[in-house]
Amino acid sequence: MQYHSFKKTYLLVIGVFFLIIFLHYLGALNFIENKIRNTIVLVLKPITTRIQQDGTAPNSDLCLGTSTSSTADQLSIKNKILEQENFELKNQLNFKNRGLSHLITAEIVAKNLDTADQIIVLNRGSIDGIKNDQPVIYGDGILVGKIIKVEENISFARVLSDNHSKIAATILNTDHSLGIVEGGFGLSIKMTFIPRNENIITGDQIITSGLEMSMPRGLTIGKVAAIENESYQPFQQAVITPAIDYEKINFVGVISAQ
Amino acid sequence: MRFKNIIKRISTFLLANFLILLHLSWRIIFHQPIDLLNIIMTVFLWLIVLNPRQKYILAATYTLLVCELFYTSPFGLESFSQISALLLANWLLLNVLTNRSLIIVFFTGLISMIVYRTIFVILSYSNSILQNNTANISPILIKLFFHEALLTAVTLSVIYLISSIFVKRLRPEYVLETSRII
Repeated sequence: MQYHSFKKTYLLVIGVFFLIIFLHYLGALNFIENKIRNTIVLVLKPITTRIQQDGTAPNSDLCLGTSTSSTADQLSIKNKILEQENFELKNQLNFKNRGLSHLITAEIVAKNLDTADQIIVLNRGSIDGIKNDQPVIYGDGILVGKIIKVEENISFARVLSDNHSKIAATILNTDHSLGIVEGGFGLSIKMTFIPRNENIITGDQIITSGLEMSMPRGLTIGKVAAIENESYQPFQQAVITPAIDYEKINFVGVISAQ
Repeated sequence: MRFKNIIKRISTFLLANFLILLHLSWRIIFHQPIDLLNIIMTVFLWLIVLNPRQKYILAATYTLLVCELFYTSPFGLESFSQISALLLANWLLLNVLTNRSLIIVFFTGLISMIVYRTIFVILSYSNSILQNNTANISPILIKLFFHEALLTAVTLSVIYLISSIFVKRLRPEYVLETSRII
């Protein structure tokens, strides 16, 4: 008897579920979805604010900058960037063309619920000028990730440590080594495709190379923590210590090329 | 009677909304490995284990569909996997694993999570292949899913263990049965 009644439940659940999915892809539920999303974000906001006040995560603000150690790193990076820019006028011009003309401050209101992804939900969306692939930074130019999905009032950013995250980067060493920074399920970040003949030292700073669209050059990624140079592999790779703990940030900035 | 039913439905609806907020907050407050706990699955599995009712399955469908708004994977993929796992767990508890021992509860949690992740992986990789994206199953990902399943199953068992003490003692049918035995 009970089994029979659940047979009805199964059919009802499957029917309702596929109807909602169908209506979602038709776009008929956009209004309701946005309303629900906004309400949840609104309710979650006091919780995130409370976490900040309790000190679970560092109380950060884009205008105030970051801790002294990271500020020193930033200054060091800026010096190195300036040296390079003296020799590379063309790159400087490109940098200026891609200049950080507009920065949208956003608050992290949630994290992606899937454990396999390292994705943060920001309380700014398409109405604030956020678009896909825009870089997300923390403090004075520390790269956090990239925007991957934009809704009307919220947006989703893929953090550097996510498995699908791939950013063109350069090492501030004598060879100015180029490579790709990839994440590893929120557990690690490494830089791959570095030519084997180039010298990398532990502690070398890694910044964005600016070789991809909408990603300016010079955003801090981290430092080289370990080097893996195997003779049987065509490239060497470097394990990176990120400039910040991505789990402990509350405010970020989205670089908009407006 | 009708008023009582309305109150019950409202309370189920409120519980579903509370779970959504709790699950989202949990992910913000805690970091790995604690944030791997799937609160929605744990609570609904616990409710199904205690009392398999139609309303819990419907509430789970609503909860998971709302949560889908905070996923970046294609809409419906996560909720489909989780609802399928819950329906399977419900069927197992009614027809196969009819005993309510702690070990059964633990394995129900573990099997449900494994089923959920298996369906999710199959669907997401099929989606990647259809969109001409690279798809590879990493051992780290499997390890992460296993940790999630284990954490959820252990939490479910602990919650069941605590709740069964109260539920058994406070349920009138149980008291009647016991008095009849005596």
